[in-house]
Amino acid sequence: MPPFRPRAQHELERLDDDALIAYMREAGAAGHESAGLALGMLAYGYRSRVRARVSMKIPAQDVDDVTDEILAKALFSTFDGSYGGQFGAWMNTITQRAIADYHRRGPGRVKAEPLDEREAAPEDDEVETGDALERALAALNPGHRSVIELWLRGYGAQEIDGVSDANVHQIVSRFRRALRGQLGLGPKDEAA
Amino acid sequence: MTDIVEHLLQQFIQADRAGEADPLAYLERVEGAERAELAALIDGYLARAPRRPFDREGFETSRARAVTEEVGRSLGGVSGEWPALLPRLRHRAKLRRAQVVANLAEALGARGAQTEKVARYYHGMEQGTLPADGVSDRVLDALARIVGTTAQELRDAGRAAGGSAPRGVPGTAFARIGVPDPEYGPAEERMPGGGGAGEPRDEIDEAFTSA
Repeated sequence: MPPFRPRAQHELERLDDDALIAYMREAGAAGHESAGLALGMLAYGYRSRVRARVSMKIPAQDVDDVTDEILAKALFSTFDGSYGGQFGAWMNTITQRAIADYHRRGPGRVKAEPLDEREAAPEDDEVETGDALERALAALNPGHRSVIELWLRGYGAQEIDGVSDANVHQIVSRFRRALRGQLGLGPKDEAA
Repeated sequence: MTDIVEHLLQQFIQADRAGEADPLAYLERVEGAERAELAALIDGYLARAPRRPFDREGFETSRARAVTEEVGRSLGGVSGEWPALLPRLRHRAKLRRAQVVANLAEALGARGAQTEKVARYYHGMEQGTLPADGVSDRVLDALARIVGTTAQELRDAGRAAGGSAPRGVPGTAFARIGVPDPEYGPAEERMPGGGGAGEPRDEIDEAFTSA
């Protein structure tokens, strides 16, 4: 195994999540202080968006508590063997689970269940809201799905390559009708 | 033509990219079906947004720093997830650390100087320096009642994290970020035995270090 090579902050900032996590573990094993920096980068990099998501689903007085529990759970998981890669998607799973747990049990800790149990667990309305968007997306053909994925990331019609502005608007409009259907705000069988 | 939902979504995305944005401020501007749709779209955007670039100044003043330090103490310590869990539980119970200590000392029947010993042991639990295996059910039962949880949850948290972190992970590697929380003072070494040098072992030591 090659010896550990410490990296500077600007180098760590360029690493994607999984590379940063791998570095964090190596630095920790080597006893290097940059392990703490890598841990902090992950926490800082995700906290505000997790908090924003939580704030839309639970009462204000518990938002920070639940957010910090989600963050801690996700960070612990990178060391306990339950993390399987793709930190952002993993964080989404933990976030949805924590919100569902909150509504089922009231304020409390995020349950540390294996992933397969989480996936099999019953959903509640709060999780359902997030799933509605994913279901509407899943019903699209791959080309339209990639357009919507870009649109959801904030790309404007002019920035989406290979599709005319008019087509982007049409695809978005049909997707939104399908989403409203999935949310129970319109016909569910609306073509996507 | 852009409708109000799409307009607000784009505004939110721009604000989020520029810094932190409060989705509730945007949701307040619509209601009913439009609000539900906007919430789903904002949630979809947030779920896809990449890791925010690191800003050391922003980090120092954010709650992300506290979480990082708590997780770091847990990973490198001998108290499992207690350094991450206990501060959160007492915050939820709206109790300062000194009050938790006072209540715990009373519940354990500590007298006089024994209260200071309870404080040191509890400090070790939050710092990750007190081995979780040694803490008795009597302490966990009392502490659970004070902070509003169960002894089993405390016991489970004590077994996790630090106990299952990769072998050879030195705790200080994860703790060296930011400035220390003034409530904790300087980092302490592991405290496996009695409450203080030269003090005879008593029932308080037994309760915290011999389960």
